[in-house]
Order: sequence, then structure tokens, then C-alpha cells
Amino acid sequence: MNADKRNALLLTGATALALSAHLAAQPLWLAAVLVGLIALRAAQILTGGVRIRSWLLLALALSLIFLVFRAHHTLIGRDGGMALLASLVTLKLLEAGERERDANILLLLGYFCSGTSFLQSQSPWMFALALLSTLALLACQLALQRPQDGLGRQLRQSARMLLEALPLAMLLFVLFPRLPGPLWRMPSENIARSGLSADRMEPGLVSQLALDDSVAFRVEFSGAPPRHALLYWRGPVFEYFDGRRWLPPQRYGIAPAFTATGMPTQYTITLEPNQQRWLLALDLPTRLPPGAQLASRLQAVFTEPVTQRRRYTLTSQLDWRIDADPNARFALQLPEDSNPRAQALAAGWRNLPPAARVRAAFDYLRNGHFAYTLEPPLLSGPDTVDQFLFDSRQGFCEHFAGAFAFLMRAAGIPARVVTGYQGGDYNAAGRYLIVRQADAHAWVEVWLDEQGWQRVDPTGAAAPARIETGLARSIPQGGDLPLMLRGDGNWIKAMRLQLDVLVNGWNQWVIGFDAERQRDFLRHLGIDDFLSAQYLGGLLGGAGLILGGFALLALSPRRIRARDPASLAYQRFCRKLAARGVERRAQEGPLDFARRASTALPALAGQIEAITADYLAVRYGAENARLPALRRRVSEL
Amino acid sequence: MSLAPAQQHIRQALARLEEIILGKQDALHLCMACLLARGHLLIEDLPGMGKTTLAHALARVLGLRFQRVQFTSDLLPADITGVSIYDREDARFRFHPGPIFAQVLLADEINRASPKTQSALLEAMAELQVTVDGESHALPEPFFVIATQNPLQQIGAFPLPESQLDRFLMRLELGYPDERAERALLLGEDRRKLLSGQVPVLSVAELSAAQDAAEKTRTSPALVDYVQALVAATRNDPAFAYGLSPRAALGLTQASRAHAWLAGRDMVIPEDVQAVFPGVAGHRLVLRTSGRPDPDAARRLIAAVAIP
Repeated sequence: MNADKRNALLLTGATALALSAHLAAQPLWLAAVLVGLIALRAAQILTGGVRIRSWLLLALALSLIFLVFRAHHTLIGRDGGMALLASLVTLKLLEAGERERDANILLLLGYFCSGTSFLQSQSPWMFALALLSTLALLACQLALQRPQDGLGRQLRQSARMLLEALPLAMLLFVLFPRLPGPLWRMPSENIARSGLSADRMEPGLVSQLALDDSVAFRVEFSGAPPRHALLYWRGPVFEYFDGRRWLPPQRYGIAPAFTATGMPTQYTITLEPNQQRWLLALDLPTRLPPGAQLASRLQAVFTEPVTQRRRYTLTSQLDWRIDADPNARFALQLPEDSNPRAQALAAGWRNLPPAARVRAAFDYLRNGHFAYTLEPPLLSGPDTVDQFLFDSRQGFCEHFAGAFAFLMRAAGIPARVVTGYQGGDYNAAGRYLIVRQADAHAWVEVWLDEQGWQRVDPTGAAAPARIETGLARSIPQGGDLPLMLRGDGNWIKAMRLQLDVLVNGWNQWVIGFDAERQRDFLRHLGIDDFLSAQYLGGLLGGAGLILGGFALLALSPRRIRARDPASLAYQRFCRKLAARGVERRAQEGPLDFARRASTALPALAGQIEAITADYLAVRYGAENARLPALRRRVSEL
Repeated sequence: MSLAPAQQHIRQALARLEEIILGKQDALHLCMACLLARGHLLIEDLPGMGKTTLAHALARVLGLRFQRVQFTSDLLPADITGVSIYDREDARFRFHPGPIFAQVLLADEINRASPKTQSALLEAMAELQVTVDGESHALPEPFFVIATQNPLQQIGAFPLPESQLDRFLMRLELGYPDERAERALLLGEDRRKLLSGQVPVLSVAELSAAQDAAEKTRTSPALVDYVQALVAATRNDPAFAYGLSPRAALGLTQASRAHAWLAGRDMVIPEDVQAVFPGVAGHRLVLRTSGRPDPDAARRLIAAVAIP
């Protein structure tokens, strides 16, 4: 294969690599079309096949634009625009001829595409991919300019260039002014809400999440983390039951006063963007971050939905008590005629004292052969509580919570359903807790006159392990769970937990370094304003230092000699003698220098002679065994 | 430092030479290094500086067969190589070897002969054989040519072209002896008598073993770096018409090895290169401006090129 063909293939490969993130974001059929076109280009190069006529290219371009419109219903914005870019770059590959101009255009487009990859995702993997494609494109550029070098050399050289650019890039990353918000509006508003459902709870909704191993949030505790069974991360509360679904409260009030006892727990949550407002604080938060408040049903909420990854610090106390709550009276609502069998069951407990009614219902679930399962049968009838309690007897946490709250209300005790997350996976390597979507949970709070709101987790009646250790141990045949949710400590899971530490660090330190943190950091350095002399001095001075350092390194005559260990030791020897006033000229042979130095420093003559003999033996006589002696003697001098 | 027997013999020979050629220790060292490196020597000097005596003494001390050819403008190639003459009794041509069939050949005032004759000698030097009437005759081993040349401004001379100069490994100048040496020369015995009284200190086989041993002196990559740096400097310096040839670079390395071996070292160090460099490079570095070799160029380069 001649050099031209090789370079053309290389360029095609590098461009494909730069496009890969965009291709992965397309619907499968569109991605397949584009990959096919790239393969066509490769075949065209390999076979030296005919160029595609320009009218055919025009037709291809028009049909690709049509396909992109079909896929995204727009040609602008992140999704449509990126798809259009990827399609047209692919076509440019097909159109490119032997001309150098085409290659240069493709290279620039490649760089642009690998930069815009970050619009798709800002994960460390995307960073690695962008780095890789930049490396490939750089190697291509070198190959076009110096075709006589081998590919290995080009790759090595481009890797070196990237490394050399790193200090400057890091300086600019830290110092270059960041805008407080995104420069243009990212289409994050269109992303579907993820995680817990905020508007209803019905059988099947939470269990949908049970197989989702994506991260909901990560928590760092400032002290030791509380026990697994105490980790109730509070999300939406549901109060209105319409016979089938639990809905949010119909009326809002103010949050009741509570007295918290016990040790305060301080922790920092890094929440993945989910388009929702819940802070997911541990029950109950006593100190909230700015911009958040405690709502009437004791849920902590932000004023705005979380559209970007958000990091905040909270303090909670796990023991608390409420003496009076005007909202408790809404927690008795029940549709009159729904679920008659359950109503009848609960009516039998009405003459018991309130605490005994709760225990009776709990015992009913515990002793009634109820099964905790990921795949509960579909409840289709109008009376889902009856169906679950008396017919199927299989359910996930939302079945248990919903049915229990219903029984409580029917027995005359105020009750409401709380959803959120329970537990989490402690990552010992990074010393933080990972809470996944699969940890989504639903439980019940009942109002007892003397004790206030009490948490009852009816799932614990059927599957105590779910609360104590998590989902994995509570599913009998754990086999269908995704890898990250399984309980057994296999090495792949351990490795992925290690990787999660990397992702978390990346999120904290790279993605999380926003305008606010930059301002804090600069203030720490004594820089208050981007328009100050200190800032400009730091930016330009830092850049000057880095570039000047490289220039010095490149121009230094020592650099060439510095690689050989014997030379290094000998240079140290020369510096020591120079400090005593005898400086070696670069052109002076070691023996000549030794003679001159011995004359000037007769006291050191013996040492000088021994060091020179060692040096000559190692450097010119290949007697490497004398290297340690040389080093020792130089140190002793 | 313990010396091998061959090294001791060569040292002995050098000491003898120093008794005959007074006050020229460095030149004798270089001359011996040139011989050990299997190179040929060009001595450029005024008449009466002891060139002939040097060549003669070298042959005597080393026990080599010596021949001298005085080059003149009417000297013919056959005068050097020999001729085939018809032999009546055998009824066939018989080759009568010329003076070139010696082990040390002194080509005196080589720039007086015509270019044709010069090139006949130089070809023999390069190929170590002489071809007469289609028949090749090998030259004896070792074969060492010492050519002398008068400084070029003299009238009636054919200066050697650069391509021919390149065949000489080294060019030396003997120069005037210093005061003390000259005084010793004037007071001492007649040089000719001194010469005829010499007995060889080593055999031809020993000399050839010494040449082999000198060639094996260790040359480290670090040293080759230095040789290459020097050679590159001659090629990059715009003052020179052209830089050193690969043959010159090879010669520089071999001469450095011989010099190191002579000094009793088993490895070549930069000082060896610096010692032989003026001799090896001096006649090869022609100034762009004057078209003549620059006598000072080699020293200037040594002072300019850093030792890696």
C-alpha cells in the first residue's frame, strides 16, 4: 500500500473516531447509514474505485438532511444540529479527493467534531475518546506533512505534542474566566425526568426502577455513615388516594414544628440532574443548603428543578418528634366504595388501640405468605389493594406501602405514602455512598396521637433483608439483577466501584469546577476580579512561565546530555567543581579537564582522578558496574 | 596500567624514534597512530625538516622494507609500479617489480610529479595491488606510504586534488624543532650513522597483530556521538566548501582507536579524537573563500563542538 492510500485511510479512520460520539447518539438506522457511507469511503480508497459523481453526492446530501429531519424533527439545536454535522462530515469524506485542501478541511472538521462530542456527554470516557481522536487527527496531520516517517513515530510525536500542551491547557482550565451559566441554552429541558415519579404512585411504578443501576446521587458523610436500615432518603410524599393511584397532597400548608434529638449527621450529596426538585434528605433535615426549604409534608425541595449536577451539604437528625401537625387530618381520606374486602379487614381492627392497629396490619402482612418480588403480577382490576392483599399476594415495595396505608386509613389511623430511596452502596475505595435508581423505595408514615408521625416500612414485613442490607439480598434468585445491583462481591463489581471513584472525582473536580468554585478558588489566591492586574499577571505570567520553561528546555545544551546516568553524575561533579571555581568547558575532554582541575585544586586531585577514571570507564568503556562507585564518589566530593 | 606485549614493543619503537627525531614527540605519536590504523601519511613541510629521516627511521625501527622514490615531473607510472620485460631465455614477459613493492614507501615531493604518476601511486595505495599488463600483483603487508609535499606556493608543482588528498589518513607538519632539540641535534651524533645502527624492535607479524589489536579498541556510542558531532559541524559550517566524507569519518574513528591503544587505554575517549582530528581533517577542510585547506580549521572546530 502506498503512502497516499495509507494516509487517506488514516484520515478516514481518525475522522470516524472523532464522529463516533455523534454516531452513537443517533437512532440506530441513521447511525447504520452513516457508518455504511464511511465504509464505502474506505472501500473506495482501498480499491481505487471511481469517485462519486457530484449530482449523486448532492442527492445523497439532500436525502441525509431528510433522514436527519425524520430522526430529530429539527435541523438545529444540539440533537438535530449534531446529526446534521455528522452527516455532512461523512459526505465530505466521500467527496474528498487527493487535494491537500480537502484533507485540511477534514482535519479541521474532525477537531471540531471531537470538541462538540462534549455536547453529548461530559463523562471521563468522553474525555478519553476526545483525547484519542485528537491524537489520531494530530498523527494524520503529521503524516500529511511528513509522509516519510512511520506511523509509530507520528503517533509518538502527536502524543508528545498533546502532553506538552497539557500544562497550558490546565492553566487555562483553572484561570480562564467561566461564565456563570451556559453560553447557550443546553437542551436539557427536553430530557425526560428520571428517577422517582413526582405526580403519582401506583403498583408497578417503583419496580420499574428496580433494574436501573444508574446513579441517582452520591453521598459523602463527614462522620461514619449511619446503618443501612436508617438510610431513608425522603422524596415525594403521596396523600390522596383515588382508589387505584396515590397522588400528591391536594392541599398544602406549612411544615409542622418538630424537635430533633440524637446526633446530627452532616453529609454532602452530589445529585445527578433529574429535572426534579427533591433534595432527598435523610429524615429529617435540620439544616438545608441555600435555595431549599422544607415543605409541608417534611420533604426538602429546591425552588427550581435540578437540571445540572448539583452538590449540596445538609445536616439531618435521625431521631425526631412532632407533637402537632394540622396536615395529619388530610391523611384519612379514602374513596367510599373502593377495595371493600380490605375495608372489611381493617374494620375488624377498629376497636383496638391505635398502636395495636398498626401492629395488627404489620403482622397481617408478615404472616400472610406475602412474597417480595421484582416481577409482581399486573393488577388490572379497579380494586388493586384487594387484588394484592387477597389474590396475588406478590408485590414490590409500592404494593406493600400502598396497601398498608390503605388498611391504616380504613382502620381510622392517618397514614401517607412516602417515596424516596432506601439504603445505598458504600464505596469503600472512595469513602462515599452510591445511591442508585434501583434503591428507590416507598414506605408509610402513620400518625399516632401521642407520638406524632411514625415511619412504618411494610416491605420489612415480607422482606426484612431489603431494609437491612438492600435489594440484592432480598430477591430470592438475585440472578436477573444487573451486575452492579447483585450482592455477591465479584471482581467486576469491585472494579466498577473503583471506576466510579474516578467518575465521581471527575464530576467533582473537572465538571464541578464552575464559575462559583472558580471565584472561590481565585479569591483564595487573592484575586478578586477578572479585570485586576493580579488576574492578568497570573494568567499571562503562568502562560509565559510554561512557554519559557519549554523554550529553555529545548534550547538547553544539557538536555541532550542529560539522558545518560554516567553523564548525569559527571555533570553533577562538574557543577561541584564549578562551585569551587574550576568550570569545565563543554568542549573540554574529561582527562584534560581533570588535569586542569587537579592543578587548580591539588587537594582534590585524588578524587578528581578517581571520578574521571570511573566516568571514562562507564561512559566510554561500557563498564556499567562502576556506575555506583562513580555516583558515590561524586556524592562524597 | 598494564600494557600488552605488543603495546610495549610499539612504545619501545617510539622511544627509539624520539632519539633520532628530536623534539617531535606529538608528531611521532600521530605518525605511529596512522600506521597502526592502516592509513597513509602525508607530511607537508619545507625541505630539510627531517621528513626523509622520519620515514627511514620508522622503517628501520619496525624492521620493514623501505623504498624511496623521488618524484619529479618526468617520473612515469611504470617507474613506480614496475614493468614487464621480455625474457629471451624463458621466451615470455617477466614482471620486474618497481619501488612500490616495499613495506614503507617514501614518496618524496609527490607534488612534483605529473597527475598521471600521482594517481598511479594513489590507486595502488587504495587497492593494495598493482596491475601491469592485465596482471595483478599484490603489494606486501603492511604497506605504509609516507608522502611528502612542499608547500604549494612553490613553482613547478602539481598540487594534489582534494579527491587524492582524501586517500591520506593524516597530514602532518613537522615544523621547526624547538631550541633545545635543535641544540641537541647540532651537538649529537650524525643522524645517518644513528640510523644505520638501529636494529628492529618488533617483527612484521607483531606489527600486524598490533594493528589488529588497535582496531578492537572499544568505541562507545557516546564517543561515536562526539565523532558525528564533529563531522556534522564540518558539514554545517558555511566557511568550508564541503564537509568531511564518510571515509574521513571512518578514518577519524580508526585513528582515534589507534591513538587510544597507543596511550595504553582499552577505550577511546574524546581526547583521542581531539588529538587526531587536526591531522585527519586539516587537509580535507577546504575554505570556500580561498579554495585552500585551512590550517586552523580543525582546532577551531574542536573548540566549538561540545562533547556530548
